[in-house]
Amino acid sequence: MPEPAARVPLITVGGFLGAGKTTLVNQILKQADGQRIVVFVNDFGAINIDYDLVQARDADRISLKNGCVCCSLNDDLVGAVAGFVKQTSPPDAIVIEASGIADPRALDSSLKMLEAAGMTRSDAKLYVLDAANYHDLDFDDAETIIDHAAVNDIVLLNKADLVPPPACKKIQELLSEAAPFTQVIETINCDVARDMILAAAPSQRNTAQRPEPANDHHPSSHHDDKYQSWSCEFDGLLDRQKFEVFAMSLPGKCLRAKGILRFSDTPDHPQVFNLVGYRATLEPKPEASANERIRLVVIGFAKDFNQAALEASFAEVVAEKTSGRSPQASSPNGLES
Amino acid sequence: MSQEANSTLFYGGPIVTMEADTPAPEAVVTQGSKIHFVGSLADARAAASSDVEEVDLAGRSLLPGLIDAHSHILWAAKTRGAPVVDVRAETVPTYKALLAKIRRRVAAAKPGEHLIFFGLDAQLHPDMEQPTRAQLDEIAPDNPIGIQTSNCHALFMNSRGFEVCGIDKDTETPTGSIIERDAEGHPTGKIAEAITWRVLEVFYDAWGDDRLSEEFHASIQEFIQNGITTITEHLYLPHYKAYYLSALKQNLPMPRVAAYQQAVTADMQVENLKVGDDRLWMAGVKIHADGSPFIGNIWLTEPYLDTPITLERMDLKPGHTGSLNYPQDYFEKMARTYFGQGWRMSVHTQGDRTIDMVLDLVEDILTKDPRGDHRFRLEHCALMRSDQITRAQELGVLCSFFINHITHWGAPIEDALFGPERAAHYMPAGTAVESGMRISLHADTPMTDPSCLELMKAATTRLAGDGRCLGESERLDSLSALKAVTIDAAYQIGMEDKLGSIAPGKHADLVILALNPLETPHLELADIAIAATYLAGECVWKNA
Repeated sequence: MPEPAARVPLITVGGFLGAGKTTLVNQILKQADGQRIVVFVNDFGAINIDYDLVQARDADRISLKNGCVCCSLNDDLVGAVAGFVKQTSPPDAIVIEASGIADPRALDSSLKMLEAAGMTRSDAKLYVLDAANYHDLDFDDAETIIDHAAVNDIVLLNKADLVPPPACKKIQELLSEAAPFTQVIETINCDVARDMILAAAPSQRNTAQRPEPANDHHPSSHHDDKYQSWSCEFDGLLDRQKFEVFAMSLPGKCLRAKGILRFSDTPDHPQVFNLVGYRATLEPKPEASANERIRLVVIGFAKDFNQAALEASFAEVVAEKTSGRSPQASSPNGLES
Repeated sequence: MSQEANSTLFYGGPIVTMEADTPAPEAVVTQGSKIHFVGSLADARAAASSDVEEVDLAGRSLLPGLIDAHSHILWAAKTRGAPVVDVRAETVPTYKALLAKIRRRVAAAKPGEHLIFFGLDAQLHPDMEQPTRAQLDEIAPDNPIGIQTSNCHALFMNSRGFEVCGIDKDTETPTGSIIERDAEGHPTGKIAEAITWRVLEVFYDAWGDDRLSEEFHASIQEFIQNGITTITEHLYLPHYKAYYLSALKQNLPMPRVAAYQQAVTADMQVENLKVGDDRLWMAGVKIHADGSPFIGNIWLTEPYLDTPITLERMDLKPGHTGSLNYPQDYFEKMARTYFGQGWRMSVHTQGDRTIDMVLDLVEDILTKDPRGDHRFRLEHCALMRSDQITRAQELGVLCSFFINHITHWGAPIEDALFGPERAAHYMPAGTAVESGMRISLHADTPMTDPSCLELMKAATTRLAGDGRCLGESERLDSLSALKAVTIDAAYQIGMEDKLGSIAPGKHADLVILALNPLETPHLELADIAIAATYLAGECVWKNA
C-alpha cells in the first residue's frame, strides 16, 4: 500500500454578514506566497478579487494566477473537497468560508467525515467579529455571536480602528470570559499575519528556499511590531512526556506553534505538531525522510512574548541534540531570513 | 364520512421493508393511511387505484418510518427554545463562561421574568463547581432562576426560584427526590429527580401557552424532518394531553405518541388514553428506579472511580456506589401495583445493582403472577452486566439503550467515571443483540437531539466525541441497529403488528433516505439526507 499522502490542512472562516469574512479570504489569497490554496465561499457573487490576480473565471470557479482557486460552496462540500484532495498534487490548504448566520457547528459533521477519511486535518477555525457594530446588536444576536466565537480557535476582532479602544477592550473582556479557549486578535481589514493562518508551511517546504515575494503582498510592517516569533531547527530527539507538558503550557503564551518533531521513544517516526489557540494536535508525518530535522516555530503577540522563557523551557524537552542552529527570534514574516 | 383516500405508489429504488419474507420488493402502494401492497412493480400498478400518484425513488431508499422508543416530544418543547438559555458545554465551554452568560441574561431580564439555563455538565464543564443558592442570589436577586444539568436530573435555584416553587425549610422532601439542605433545613440550592420536573413546570407555566405551542411545533418539525414517525412521551403527565389534542386538531404532523405515564406514588390513576387511529395511546407506566450516572445517583456494585471529576465537580465521596431513587419497598410497591393493573412497565435503570434489584422483582412477580407477553422494559441500561442480559432475556425483559451517552460523554465515562473495563461494555447493546433480545435505541430528547441515523452511527461505531472507541465488541451491525429504530422499537412499544416495517395493512408511515443505510459506511450513517417523511399515508415533509 502506498504511503498515505499528507492530509490537507483545512481552515474555516466564520462570522456574521458584513463582519469581514470575504476580506479575510482575500487576504489569504493575496498572501498565498507560493502555496496553492483552494477556497470555498458561500456567497460566490460577493467575492471581489483583484482583476490582476485572476486568470480565469466561470460560473462557480475563479482560478488565480498564483495557482489558487476560489469555488462556490455547493451542496456537496464533501465531494468537492475530496475532488481536490485526490488530485495528483493536492492543494497546500483548503479554506471554507461558512455562511454568515449559520451555526459553525453545522459544518462539523461534514468536516469530521473528511477527517475520518484521512483527507483533511482541521487546521484552524477562524471567526471574524465586527467590533464596530457589536454594541449595536440586540441581545440575542450578540449572544449568538459569542456562542459562535467560543467554538473557534481564533477570533479576529475586526474593524478595530472604527471603535474607541475602551469599546474594543470591553469585547475583549467579554470574550476572555465567554470564549476562554479562543485567542483574540484585533485587526483592521482582517490584516492578520500570514503565518497565523497558513501553518502548513514547515511540513511541505524548506522554508529557507521559499521564494522572496516579487512585490509586497505581505501585510504591512506594523505586523513586525505586533507579532513576534521564535524558531529552532536541529538534528536530535525530544522527550515525549516533557514535550507534552511544554505544549500544554503554550496556550496563553503564544497564538500558534507548528513543527516537525522526533521523539526518543519512536525516533523513526517524525510527528507533525500544530497548535492553534488552545487546540494542539500531534500526528505522524507522512512521507517522512529518515533524517528529518526537528523544526519548531512559535508565534505570538510581541507585547507578551517571552522568548527567553520559551527557549529555556524548550531546552528542557530536548533529549538529545547532535547539531543545529541556535534558536532565533524574528518577525513572523521572515522566519528563516 | 369517508376521507379522501390518497394513494401513492413508490418504485425505482431500494425498498427496505424490515420484513423477512419481502426483503427487497420493487414497489409499495399505500391506500389512505395504510400500506396496501408490497411486491413487483407490475403487480403494484395492477393493485393500485386509477388515481394513484407514482413516486419515483430515483435510486433513493424507502424505509418504514423511524421510531425513537424513548423520548419526550412535548417535554422537549418545554425545555428547549427561548426563554430557556442553552448553556451546554459545546457552546459555553466553561463554568466561568456559563456564569458570565447567566449574568448577561439576568441583566437583560424583565422584572420577575423566570429564567432557566439548560446544560450544566460536571463531566464537560472543566471548572464546574456546584452552584449554591447564595451565589445565585448574588447573580439574580430579583428574578427566579434555575440551572438545569444537561442530564435533566438536577436543578440549582436561587431564593426567588425556591420561593415561586413553594419550597422552603418546612417542605417535606417527596420520596424519591432530593432537596439539599443546610443544618436548619433551608434548601441550599440543589434539587434532584422527580421534584426537579415538578418544579420546572412552574417555570414553563410562567412562560405561557403561546410560547409552548410555538416550541411544540418546532419540536414536531424536528422529529418529522429526521424521518421519525413514532416517538414516546416518557414522563407523561395528564395535563399534557391537551397539547397533543390541539396539535392533532390543527392537523400538525405530530408523530404517533406512545405515552408512558410517570409514577411517583403507588396510588396514581393511569389514564386509559387512546386517540385517533394510533396517534396517541397509553403504552405503559414509567418509574425511575435510579438516576443519572453523571450526577452520581445510580446504584452500583463497583464504585465510581475516585477522580477530580467525581470527587470535586460531582461532589461524591471516595468509593461512591450510589443508591436507588426510592426506598426499595416503595419502588416495589409501585411496580407491583401498576404491573398488577395490567400495564406494561418501563423502568429507568442505569446502575447494575439497580438492575439486579429490578430483575429480582420481575422474577418474583412472574413466579406469583405469570404473564407471557409482559414486555417489561429497562431504560438506558448504562452499566448492565452480561449475566444480567442473559437473565433479562430469560425473563422476557427488554432493554432500550441510550447509546448517545457514548458519543456525547464517552471520554469522561471512561476516564473519569468508570474506567476502561466498564466503559467497554457501557450501554451493552452488542451483548443484548447477541443474546437474541429485541432491543431499541433512543436519543432521550431533549437530552440529545433526535436522529435515528445518529443512533445507528453511535451503535455501529461506538466512537466518542474525541474519536476513541468504547468497546468494539459491543458494536452492532447495520441491520441490528436499523431494527432497533424500526421493527424492534415497535415491538417494545407494543405496536409491531401496526408499525416498524413495510407490510400490507400496516400504517403507511414511511421515510425516503438519500442512501440505503444498510449499505452506507457506519461513519457516514448520520449524514444520510432525509428526502421525505410520510405519516399515515401523507407526505408531511419533503427536503426541498
